Amino acid sequence: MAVLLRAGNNLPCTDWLELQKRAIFDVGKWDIQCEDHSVLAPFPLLLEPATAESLNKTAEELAKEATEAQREMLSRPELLNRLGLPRAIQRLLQKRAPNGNPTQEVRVMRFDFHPTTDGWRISEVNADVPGGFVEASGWNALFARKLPGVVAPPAPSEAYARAILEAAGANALVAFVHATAYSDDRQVMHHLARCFSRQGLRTCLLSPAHLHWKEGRAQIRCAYASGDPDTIVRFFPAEWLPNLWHNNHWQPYFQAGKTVLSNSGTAIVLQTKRFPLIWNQLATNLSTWRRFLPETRDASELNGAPDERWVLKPALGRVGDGIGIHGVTPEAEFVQFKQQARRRPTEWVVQKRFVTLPLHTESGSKYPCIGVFTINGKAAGFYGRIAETPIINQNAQDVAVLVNERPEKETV
Amino acid sequence: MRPEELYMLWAPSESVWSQWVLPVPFAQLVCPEAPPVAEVPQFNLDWLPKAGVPDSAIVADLPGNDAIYYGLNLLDRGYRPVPVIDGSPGPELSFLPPLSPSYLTSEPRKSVSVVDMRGLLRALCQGAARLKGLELAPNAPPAFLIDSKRMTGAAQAVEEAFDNRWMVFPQDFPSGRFLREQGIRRVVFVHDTFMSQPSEDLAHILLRWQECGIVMESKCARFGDAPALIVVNRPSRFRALWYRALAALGLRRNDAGGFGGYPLSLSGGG
Repeated sequence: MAVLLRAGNNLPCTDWLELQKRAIFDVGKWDIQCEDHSVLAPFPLLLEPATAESLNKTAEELAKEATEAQREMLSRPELLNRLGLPRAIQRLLQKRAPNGNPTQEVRVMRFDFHPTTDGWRISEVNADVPGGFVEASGWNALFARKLPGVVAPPAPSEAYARAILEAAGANALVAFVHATAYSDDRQVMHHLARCFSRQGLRTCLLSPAHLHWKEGRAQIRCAYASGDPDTIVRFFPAEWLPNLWHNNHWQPYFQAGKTVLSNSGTAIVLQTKRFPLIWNQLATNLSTWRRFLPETRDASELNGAPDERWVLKPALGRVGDGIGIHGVTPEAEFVQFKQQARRRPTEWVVQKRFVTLPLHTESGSKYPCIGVFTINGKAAGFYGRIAETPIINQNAQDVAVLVNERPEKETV
Repeated sequence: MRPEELYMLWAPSESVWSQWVLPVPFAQLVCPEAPPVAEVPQFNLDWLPKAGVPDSAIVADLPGNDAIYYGLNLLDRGYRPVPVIDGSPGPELSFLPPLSPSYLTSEPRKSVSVVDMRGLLRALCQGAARLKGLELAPNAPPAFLIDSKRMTGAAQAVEEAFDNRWMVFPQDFPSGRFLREQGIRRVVFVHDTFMSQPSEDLAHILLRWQECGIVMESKCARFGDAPALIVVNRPSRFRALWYRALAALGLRRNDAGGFGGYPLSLSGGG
């Protein structure tokens, strides 16, 4: 696969400020500042059309293999022991495995691609509750209007709305389940609800505590809404669900039912970074995964103390949390991660380190990452982030990803 | 008034502090058209010279609308009010009823939100009239405005309510280094009653600033006496990894069981 990617120039400050305002009020981007730095980068990432096509094709192959692997894992309870899942979820999935009908769902994933010395590599799949819709749909489109000769990739939010419409029908009621107090998550729900409304769907923003279940169907019970949603868009991580008080509040997210789930809680078997540890026991063909995901091992194999060739990762970490890389992660943090990995090795993995190629930008060298969305297995858009270090975490900036209308020759 | 018009009044592009005005309430708020002018309560600012103190920032941690009103009072002393409000007002877009003196004084309907933000939102709308045409220096010292009821809200069962509690985090504020670059050497922490220590979440911010050599003072908003020097104590989990996540978890665990409380990580999404 060709590695063709470069950073565009910074927008003039006034243009960028205007775009930031449009991002807040037109597309629902509310987290615009993190301490002293802006969350939104003033420049875009520019992809060659062939590169965009290649990333899309790879993401679709990865999604296909992942879906098949998930089906196999759920039907083989003995494999679930190694995944580092919360015990309650593991027990539930093992119990339901013999009659493991896949839950009806609209499936969203995001594969994070990094340009490396060996070509594109993925660091993970966000198979459970992928974020980045606001930026991949809104920020990309806003930025594209400012630059000639580029187009914005497809908007995943629109594709998502169409997929739900197809699954649930016109005028269906969609419940957006999230941690309502957390504004970073709420902005995503707010943004998606607007898109869904434009497609003729009814929307309701809720916490998981507001949903009750009867005979496999969700019901809304709260101080401000009622009704039976046809679809649940979940932005509340699967591993947090067992914290809900009663089993009948959280277990339905992992079971087949009458309400369409997006995503089903069973996505956690792919979300865990320990998924590769059972590849050799699966019959599913995972050749694309094997090609693009670096070698992954149980942290206990290195006694939780990886050398510079390895990256330490928590099995269910998010937004770059807990990632330890020699020379990149501050030493004090790395020491803590290693201690935790030694204490609970089944909740960590080590992964062969790849060398991410930095991009030259007007703000210095930066490390990019392009998340490729798939919805029901079809590529649906790009979410760009760029960081000062090879770790993409909460300090990374969101960056517009645009595709050149005509091929260029510049390379990374 | 459209949401962005109100936001731009509170976060004008010329102010160096505008980037910390959180858009969260503004993006979910539509002020009534041409609201009748309501009285902004006056606070005793005798402790501040008329020309303000250019090397001092203020952090007003006051309940609901008082935080905003305090900021509007400080305009006369040359301060730039910077609302740092990370709470969503309600489950859907908040279309406020017409703002009138009778509405402001009458008993409001029970809020479906854990933190009733209606008073605060009305104050933000009211502030538009004061902020329009205002001429403040781009580097006028900041008055960060936060709602002291952000973590408690009303004493009601939260299970069925819209849980909109929030906390402040270091990521929501400028660093101590940035403050110093802007000439800030002192921060006055203003509360409803005198407190020698800020709330735990705010302590994480103020201690970082203190460690950068910024002097901390505290005072009660009700009186005009001079602020008292304080030393911010080390809060639990200061600079701890995943503080944000752990603090959030604590909030959720302490509540009456309402979910929608803070998640375990920086974001639910990946």
